[in-house]
Amino acid sequence: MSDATPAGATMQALELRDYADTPESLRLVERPLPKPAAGYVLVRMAYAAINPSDLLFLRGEYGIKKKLPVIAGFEGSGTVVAAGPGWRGRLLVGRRVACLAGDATDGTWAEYAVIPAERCFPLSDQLTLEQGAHLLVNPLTAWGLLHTARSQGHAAAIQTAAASQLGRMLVRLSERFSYPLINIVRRQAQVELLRAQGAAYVLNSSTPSFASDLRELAQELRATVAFDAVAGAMTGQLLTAMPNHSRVIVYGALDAAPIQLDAQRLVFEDKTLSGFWLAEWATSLRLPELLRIGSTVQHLAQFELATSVQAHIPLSAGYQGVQQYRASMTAGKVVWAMHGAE
Amino acid sequence: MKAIRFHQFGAPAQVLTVEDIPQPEPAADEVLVRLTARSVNPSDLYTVMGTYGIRPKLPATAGNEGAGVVERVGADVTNFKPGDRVTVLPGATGTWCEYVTLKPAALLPTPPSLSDEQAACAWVNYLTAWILALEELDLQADEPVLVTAGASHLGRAMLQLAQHSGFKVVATVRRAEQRQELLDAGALGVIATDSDDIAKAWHAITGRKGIHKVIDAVGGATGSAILEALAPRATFILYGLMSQQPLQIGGQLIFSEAVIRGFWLVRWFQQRTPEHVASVFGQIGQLFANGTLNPVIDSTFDLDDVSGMVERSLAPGRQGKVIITGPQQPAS
Repeated sequence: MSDATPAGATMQALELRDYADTPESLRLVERPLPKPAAGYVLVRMAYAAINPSDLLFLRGEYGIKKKLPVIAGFEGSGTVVAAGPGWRGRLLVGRRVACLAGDATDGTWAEYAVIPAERCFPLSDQLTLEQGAHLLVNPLTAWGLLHTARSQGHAAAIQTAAASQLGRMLVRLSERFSYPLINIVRRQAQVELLRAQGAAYVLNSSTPSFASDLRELAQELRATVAFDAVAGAMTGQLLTAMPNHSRVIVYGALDAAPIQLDAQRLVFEDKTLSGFWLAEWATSLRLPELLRIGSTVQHLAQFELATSVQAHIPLSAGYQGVQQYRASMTAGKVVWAMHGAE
Repeated sequence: MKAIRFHQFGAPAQVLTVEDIPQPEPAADEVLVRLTARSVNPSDLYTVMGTYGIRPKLPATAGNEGAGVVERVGADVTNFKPGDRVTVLPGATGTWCEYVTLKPAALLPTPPSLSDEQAACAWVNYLTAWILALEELDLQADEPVLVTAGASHLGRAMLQLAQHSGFKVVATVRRAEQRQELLDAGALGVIATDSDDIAKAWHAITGRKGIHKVIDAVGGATGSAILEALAPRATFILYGLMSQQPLQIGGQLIFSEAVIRGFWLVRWFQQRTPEHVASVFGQIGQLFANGTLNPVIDSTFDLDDVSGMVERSLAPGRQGKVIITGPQQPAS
C-alpha cells in the first residue's frame, strides 16, 4: 500500500452497537486507522449523507445486515489517500471520489473509510466534495427510475412520496425530458410546494376523491409505470387505478404494512410489480453504460439532480444528528462533515 | 340437446343446471361436432362464479375445451368429414353440451395416441405449461423452477414437459402424503406447504439460495410465503386464483429486482401472431402424438351429473383432470 497515513494514527467514527435504534446504539468512538486490503482503497472522508436507507439499516430493516459492531453509513465523499493491491485502486489514489460502502464492511460515517475500489466514482472538476456526498443514492436512483420508464416505452409515469428529495429530483428530471409525471403527496402543503416547482400533475392522497382522480388521470395520460416509495396499501391503490399492462416499481417502504396484490389484477389485467434496488440495478449495467450514466448524473447534480442540504453536522452530534434528519426529512439532507469542516 | 348452463353468476353447485336447448345447425363454413368429452378447468368454474377475466352474456353454456366426433360439415368445409375424431381448441365457449358448431380453424384432428377424454384436457393445461416454462421463464436444462399446486393437472403437465425439455421441477403440495407420487413422476423435490419451510426446503433441494423462478397457481398464503423467499432477480408468475386470496409481500421487495406478474392464456392468444400460435401447437401436438405428453384423467362424470362433477372438481387431492363424458349414444 502507498503510505500516506502515519502509523499509530486514530480516527473518529460512528459505530453501530446494536439494531435497537436508541441513542446508545450509535456511539462516537476512536479507532485505529484501517488499512485497505487488495481491491480496496482508503478514503479520507469529507462528507457523508444520511439517507432513508440508513434509517432502515439502524433499525435492522435494511436489505443488508452487517456483523456488529460496525461503522454506519452507505454514502459519502472524500479523497483516496491509499490503496491495497490492484490496478483499479492504484488509479484512484489522490482522486476526489463519491463512494458507497461495501456490503459487509465498515461504512462512511467516519473520518476514514475502507471502500471497495469499484464503488468509488471520481468526481468531475465541476463538483465539490459537498455535492459529491449525496451524488449516488438519490440522483442515481432518480435517473435509474426515469431511465427505466422512458426506455421501456411508458407514455407517462406516477410517483408517490413526490415531495421527498428524490421525488423532487424526479419532478425536475421529468420537466427536463418533457415527460408527463403524476405526483402523489399526502398533504396540501406538499401539493403547493410541488406546484410552485412547476409540477403539472399533483394529487393529494388524503383527499376523498383521490382514488377516482388518480384513475382518471392515469388512464388519460396512459401512465403505465409508477415509482412507489410508500408501499403498503398505496401499491394496491396504484395497481387498481392504472391502465392494463402497467408496472409498479417499489423502491421504498415508508409504510411498514405489507403490499396486498389482487390476483385478478396480475392475471387478467397484466399488471406487474417489481423492486428497484440501486446496487442490483447498477451491477446489471455494463461498465461503459455505468460510466456514461455516472457522467450524466454528475452533470445534472448541479441542476435537476441537485440536493438541498439543511445542515452540516459534526460526527460528535451522533444519534442527535440522525434524529434531526428523521424529524424533517423533506427539509433537506443532513450531512456529516468530517475533520472540522463546516 | 342437453347443455350445462347458468343464468346468473354464483357458486357452481347452485347456479349450474342441465337444460334442453336447440341443437345448433352448421353454416356452410362450419363443422357440427358431437362432443364426447369436456374438461373441467378452474377457469370454467371462475367464469360461472363471475370472477374470471371474461364474463359471458347470460344465460350461457359453461366450458371451453372438448373433444368428440364430426357429425356433419357445411358445404364449404373440405378438411374434415363426418366420423373424424376432433379436439376443440381452447377459446371456444360453451362446450359443456352435446353439440357445437365451429369453424374448421377451431378444430384439430385428435391423434390416435389420445383418448377423447385425454384430448379434451390436452390443450389449456399443456399449452400453459409449455408457454410458462419455455417462453415466459425460458427454463434451461437442469434449471430448477418452483411449481405450486404440483399435483394439479398443470403440475403434472409441467413434470412431463420437464422430462422432455430437461428443466427441473420442485413442486409444492398441500400435504406431505402427496410427496412420493410426484417424486416418482420425476420431480427434483417436493415441498409440503403444511409442514416445510419453503426457503429452507428449496435450498436443501436445489443448493441455491433464494428462489429464482416461480410458477404459481395458488396466490394467498402459499404464494406470499414464496414471495418472502425470492432471490434478488427472481421472476414470479401467477397464473391461477386457487386460494381466492390476495398475495402479500413485505417491504423486502425493495431490496431486490424481483418481478411479480401474471399470465393469462387468453392474452397470449391475443398477443401472438397466428404463425407463432400454429408453430407452438405443432410442437406440442407432436409430443402428444409420440406419447411424450400424456394427459392424466382423475375421474369422469356424465353430462347429467352436475353435482357430482362440481363436488369432485372442488375436492382436494385430485389425481388429474375431471372430465364430463356422455351422453351415451344409442348403438347404431
